[in-house]
Amino acid sequence: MKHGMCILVVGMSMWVGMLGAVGDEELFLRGNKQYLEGNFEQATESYRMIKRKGQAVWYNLGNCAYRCGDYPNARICWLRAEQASPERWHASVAHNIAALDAAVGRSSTPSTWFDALTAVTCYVPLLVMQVLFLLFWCGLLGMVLTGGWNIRRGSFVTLCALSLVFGILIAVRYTTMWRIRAVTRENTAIFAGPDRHYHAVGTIDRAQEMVVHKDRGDWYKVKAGILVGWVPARDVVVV
Amino acid sequence: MKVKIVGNVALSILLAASSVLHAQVVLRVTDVYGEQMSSAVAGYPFRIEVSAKGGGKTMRRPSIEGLDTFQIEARETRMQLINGRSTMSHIYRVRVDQPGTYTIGPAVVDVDGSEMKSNVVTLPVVATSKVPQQDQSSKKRSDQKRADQVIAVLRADKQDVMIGEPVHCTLTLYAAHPDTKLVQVQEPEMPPVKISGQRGPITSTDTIKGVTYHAVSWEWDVYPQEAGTVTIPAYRLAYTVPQDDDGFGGFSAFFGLRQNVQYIYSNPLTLSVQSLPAHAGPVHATGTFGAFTAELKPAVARAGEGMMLTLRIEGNGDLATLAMPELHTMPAALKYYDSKSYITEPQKKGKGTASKSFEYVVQGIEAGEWEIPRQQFTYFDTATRTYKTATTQPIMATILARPDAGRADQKMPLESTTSDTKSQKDTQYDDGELHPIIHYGAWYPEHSWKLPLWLFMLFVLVPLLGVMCVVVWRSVRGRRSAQAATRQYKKAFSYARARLRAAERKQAYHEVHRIFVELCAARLSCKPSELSEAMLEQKLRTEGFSEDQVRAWQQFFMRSASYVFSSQNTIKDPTLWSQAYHWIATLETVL
Repeated sequence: MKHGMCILVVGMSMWVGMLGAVGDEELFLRGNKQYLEGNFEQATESYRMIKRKGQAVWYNLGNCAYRCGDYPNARICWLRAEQASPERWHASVAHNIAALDAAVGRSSTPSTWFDALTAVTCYVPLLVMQVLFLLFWCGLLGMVLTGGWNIRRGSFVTLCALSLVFGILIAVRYTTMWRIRAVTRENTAIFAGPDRHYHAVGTIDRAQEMVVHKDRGDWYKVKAGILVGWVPARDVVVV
Repeated sequence: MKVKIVGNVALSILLAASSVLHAQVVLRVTDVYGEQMSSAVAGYPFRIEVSAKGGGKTMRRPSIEGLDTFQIEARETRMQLINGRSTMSHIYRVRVDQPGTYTIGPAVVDVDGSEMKSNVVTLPVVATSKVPQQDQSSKKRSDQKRADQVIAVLRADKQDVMIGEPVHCTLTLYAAHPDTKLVQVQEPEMPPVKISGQRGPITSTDTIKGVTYHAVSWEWDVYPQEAGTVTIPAYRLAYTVPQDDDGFGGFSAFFGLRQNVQYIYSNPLTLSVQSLPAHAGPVHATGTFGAFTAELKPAVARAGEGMMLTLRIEGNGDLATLAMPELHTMPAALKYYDSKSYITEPQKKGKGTASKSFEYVVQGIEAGEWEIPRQQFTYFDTATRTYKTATTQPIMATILARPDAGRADQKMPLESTTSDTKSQKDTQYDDGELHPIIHYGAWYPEHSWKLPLWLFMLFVLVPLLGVMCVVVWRSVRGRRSAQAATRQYKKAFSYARARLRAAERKQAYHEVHRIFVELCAARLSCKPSELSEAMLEQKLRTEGFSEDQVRAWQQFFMRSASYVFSSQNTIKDPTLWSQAYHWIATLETVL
């Protein structure tokens, strides 16, 4: 019995070591192959074994989770893929999340002007926005410095408007980046305070995205759509 | 008279004849230290000396029969003159690598136009590699004490070898005196062997027959290329030993006279090299080899993408010249190209063995699972004296279809068969409502390009602050200049009076005109350069001055101006000062 256990432990160690030796790229390609063959669980395992997961791995993991019916995880993985470089992945992620919302019977249209603005900023790289803003900003200040603002009023107003627009877009983008998002594992109630003794202000569906405003250990203060309240930390996964 | 002439001619003929008749050409063979020797050692140098004793004044280079069978390392010419008798010597330092009996001579010499022949020497050359020759030779040297303290030894780990088998050689210089310094190691011309893996110098301390020596060693591997007896010749080493005190103290050291360069030879080595036994098929190497492994990275790739197949052989052999093995029975769906090879030395000397890796770029041109079969490496094992074949394990390579494989305009290099097309279709998964998975790129975290927030804010705020500073500075400057103009306007007359008084004290008549110009400019809010006489007259007329008054002003103004352009010797009119005070008072009422 003892020998058997030893052999088992040694065998497991060797297996884990062999797995570690396999390159991440190889695991990625293997996962892709398994996904194409319809082996979503195996593909998920292959992707999960990748040590340093990039955006493509998270995205593919999301697809695997969706195929396995694990919608909360699918949403989390897609949001993680989008987090690093939204301008590249937003379109695909938005499409898949719309499909997910449709699958769970929920509308995923932007609910607020901020969400709509966020969706717009996702298509423009942040660096481009920053550079354009700085160009307009320097032009504006140059006109002020040289007194041109009094002569070319039209140009001055245009520069002001463009600086303002790009400033707002950058601010929205940074706000989105700094926003902590979470996804519900199951249908969960949202409470008025950080305890179940408070009254429930509503219910959040499974795999729904929310924004975390406060963290009190076991409870998160969240905003989900128009609902603002507290949810138990164990019912949600922070992206 | 005739008798005298005949006598002189006869004497000359007699002298010439006696010198030629007395001349003697001798050929002798000595060791490198000049001592007579009866036999030589293969690979160890010795000297052939041709001397014309009591010969004439000129002796051309001799022609020595049989000299061309030796390897000439150096040659020199010496001339001695003792009691009017000259001795010319031609000395050759030679070496022969093959044992046997050699005949040297006769040497034919042209002495003062007469051809003379030397004796003939028969020299037996023996093969030996065990006796350090310098031990014997050094005993005969004059500075025996020094020679005993320096020994050069050439060693080999084996003497009976096969072609291509590595022979580990070590050359060591032992010196008893701690201040002995090695100056040069002169490598002899080598027989047909390959040399690699040179290491050194390695210093150590060794005790031989109770004497402690400081040792300097070099190591290398020799790979014989031809069968037969191969002699590795003796190495010549130059070293310096410090001289004893010569009585000149520091002067000798200053002129470098206390360093005496001496030479010593190592022993030669004789290897018996045998041919490899016959073998059907290619032989890659000779030596002792261990694991032969194959590795494919990554094992899964898309069609057209490159994979790296690495074959690695470990062992002790001539790895440097080991050629890239040909890959055998590779599947047609896998193309491969030779990439590079490299040798990996063991991390610690003496522990582990070196290995050589051969890299091939493998490219899948058809989707599927393909096996890279066992590869073979055949070598002559010098330990067991037999041929052995090392084989790798087979490797599976998984080639995935390219994402654009379905496009008609982008065909694979190798046309797929019908069954292959079917298998590809079977592996395609329709993602339906989802966007398809990402097949390539970004499996690792990608860096998102953006300016850091602090830098961005710096770029925003620094120009803003700059502009704000400029605006504030401009505002302050404008206000200050306005205040200065007002002050100047209000105090123009009192200032003009003060300047006038100062000018009067100095009797500076030429200052008066400038004081009035600046006064009027300040009151009329213009620059002094913009002020004109007509402008002032117009102003006076406007303020109600009569024509007489204006004319009087014109006269005063022109008079004051005349002092500006007048010389020092011009006669000065003191009434100018009273008129000036008067006009200031007058102008104060109208300006």
